[in-house]
Amino acid sequence: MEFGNSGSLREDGIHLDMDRLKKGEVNMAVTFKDGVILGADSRTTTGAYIANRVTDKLTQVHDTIWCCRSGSAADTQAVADIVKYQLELFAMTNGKPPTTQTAGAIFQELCYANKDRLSAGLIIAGWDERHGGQVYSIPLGGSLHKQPYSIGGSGSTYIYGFCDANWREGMEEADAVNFVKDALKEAIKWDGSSGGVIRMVVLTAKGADRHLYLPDTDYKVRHE
Amino acid sequence: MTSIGTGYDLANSIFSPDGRNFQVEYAVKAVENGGTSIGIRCKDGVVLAVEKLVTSKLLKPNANKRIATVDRHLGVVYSGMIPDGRHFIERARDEARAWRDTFKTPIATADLASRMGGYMQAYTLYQSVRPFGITAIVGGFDSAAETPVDGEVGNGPACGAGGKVAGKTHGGPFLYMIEPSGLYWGYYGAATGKGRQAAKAELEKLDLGGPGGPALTMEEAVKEAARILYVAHDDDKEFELEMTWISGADGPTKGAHHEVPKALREEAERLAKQAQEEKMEE
Amino acid sequence: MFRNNYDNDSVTFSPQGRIFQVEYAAEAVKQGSVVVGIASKTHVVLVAIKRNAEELSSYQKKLFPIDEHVAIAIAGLTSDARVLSNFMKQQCLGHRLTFGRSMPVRTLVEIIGSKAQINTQHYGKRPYGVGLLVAGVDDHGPHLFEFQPSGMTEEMVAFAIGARSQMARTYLEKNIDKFADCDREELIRHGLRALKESLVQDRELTIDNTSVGVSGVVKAEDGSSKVEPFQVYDQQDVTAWIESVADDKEGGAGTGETEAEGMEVDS
Repeated sequence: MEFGNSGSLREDGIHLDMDRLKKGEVNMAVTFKDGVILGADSRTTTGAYIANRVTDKLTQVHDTIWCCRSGSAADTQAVADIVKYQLELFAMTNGKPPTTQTAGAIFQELCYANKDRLSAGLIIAGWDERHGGQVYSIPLGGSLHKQPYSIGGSGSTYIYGFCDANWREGMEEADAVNFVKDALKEAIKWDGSSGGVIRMVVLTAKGADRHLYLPDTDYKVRHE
Repeated sequence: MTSIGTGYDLANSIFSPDGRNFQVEYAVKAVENGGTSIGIRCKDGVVLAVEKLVTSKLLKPNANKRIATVDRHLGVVYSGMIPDGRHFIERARDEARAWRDTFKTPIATADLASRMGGYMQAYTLYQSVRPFGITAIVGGFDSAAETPVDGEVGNGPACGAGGKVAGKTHGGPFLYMIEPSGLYWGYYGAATGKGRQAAKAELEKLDLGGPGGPALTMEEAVKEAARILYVAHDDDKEFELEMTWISGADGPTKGAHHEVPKALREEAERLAKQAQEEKMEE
Repeated sequence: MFRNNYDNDSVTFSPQGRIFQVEYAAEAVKQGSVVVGIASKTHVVLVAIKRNAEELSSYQKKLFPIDEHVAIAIAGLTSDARVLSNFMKQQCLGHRLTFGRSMPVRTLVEIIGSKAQINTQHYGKRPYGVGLLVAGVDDHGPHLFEFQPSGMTEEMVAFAIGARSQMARTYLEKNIDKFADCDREELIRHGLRALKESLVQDRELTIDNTSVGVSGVVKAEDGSSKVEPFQVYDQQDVTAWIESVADDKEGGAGTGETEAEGMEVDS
């Protein structure tokens, strides 16, 4: 990433460059036997500086519908906030939880209608009673893709091969968690702007279950 | 009638001291003067039917349709003031369209009924409007299969999504009836209009609300619908029978709302007339 | 005149579920002079009686072309008809612009039906005080529709609205089975005969008070069908037609065919 010369130093010394505050990162979502798992690293950079090394990049938009945001933090946060509101409204007015598809449709509408003004790449993953676990990705232009699993962010470039070789349909939960973890570890290893901890969320009929793995223990131990 | 002369019945949205809105009650009267409409929820779909009174010999036969398609899988029939019904249908189409625009998926029958119930209710709230002079019957078949988001590309894992709740079915045939007050309920069999009493009595004899769901098939329901409208019909007036149906994806209409084929409708009418004559002989 | 509390506006139902303002608007249609429309398999005609306010004034037009393929005949408040006519012209034009083809007649009629319905449900609005016969030709052939102030629209084989129109309708009902196979000229003559039924005693059809409009589908040399654009005829252009039905009133003599029809009218 080219280092920006616009912006200013905040009083706490953090260089804020709104044009450049984009996350170099890696994130992914995979379907498995009982639902879906989302995973991401935790590094946020402004230029060479790691502005946050324990960022939570997995965003909840409904009980069991989450998303991975990549691109402009400001843009993707704004979009996710709008969708979160819409889904909450949907649940209240219709007396039933929204499906992952509903979330995908609303995300896509926003991303497509504002494609000229947004820099947002999204992976939406969720579990619902009717469709089970599903993964949708919305790349830059605002198209909507249904996928068995999806990877995104700058770090994903380095793990296409890994994922292609190791992905299996209908994995057990433990296997799927390990697959996500191993893939993210590879990305963290090779991508300069990915790093920190590994966060995951497992979405099934039982709800949302969060995982945290620290580099201190070589991502081996699940922390609370 | 206790309402007349009190002044509480002269404007919409006015409560009488005992808590009634007379203008809404009068709107119901407009419905009760209209040709009978019925809807039947069957095992494999929904059947809608209406008795169209022939008010003039100069009307073009079978040209003026009364049952409208609101979305591919949704049909609406109504009794009462026909221009009001057309307005209702236009609004229902707008609602179905708007739902598809936001959620990229067809609106569920229950959701459409809810939206339209709300719309009708809004016309009881203000002195600047009058309630709808119709009762509408909304029939639909919500896809039992998983449907994609409109316009999505790609597909999930070939083995299908995991983590679905086992043994749970989705979608199916649904039937709702919405009154001028905005009140609506789901029905196994619904009837409104002039002959509703007789029609309801006949509908209650059918096996529609059993614990295992309705036993009647659509084809049987078409014949029952014709028979019921002949029973409910006031003999000395001429009428046309219009019938539509909606099946699931594996049924005759493949999930869409269509007019019942001419041959089946005529067969149903023949049987209805026959049953009518047999009853006369008794 | 009898009055009641429920007839002040179009947003009040009577205890019987009627809306008197809409019914009164329908009465306004009966104040207008009579217009008749008939459709056959190939043609649709509109004929009308025009009225003049006084001896020296001009006659009020009754037939208004809307587009190449559609025209209306009006009975009731002319100014309301003009509003609807302008609206219909715009709709037809807009449809041509977006779809590059003429608007189906039913679509057009349903649009004005919806427009009129709004006027019967909102305070401060009044129903249109005019009835229309809408005649036109589209892909499905010729069509005739009736439009009422309530917003009710229905497709008819033949119809008449306006003052004393019941007489014309009786004629049309008696002859309804003949219309489908009539050719252009026969259809016009039926229209004029129906019109004559509704005339007041001592009045008759003249070139000043009679309008005729026709549209149809004509077979071209190569077998394809072409639309005969709607054309309105007045003055000397209607002379021959008026003469052709001049002497067959009340079962009077005419050509062979008209004679037979005259007999039936009498029976």
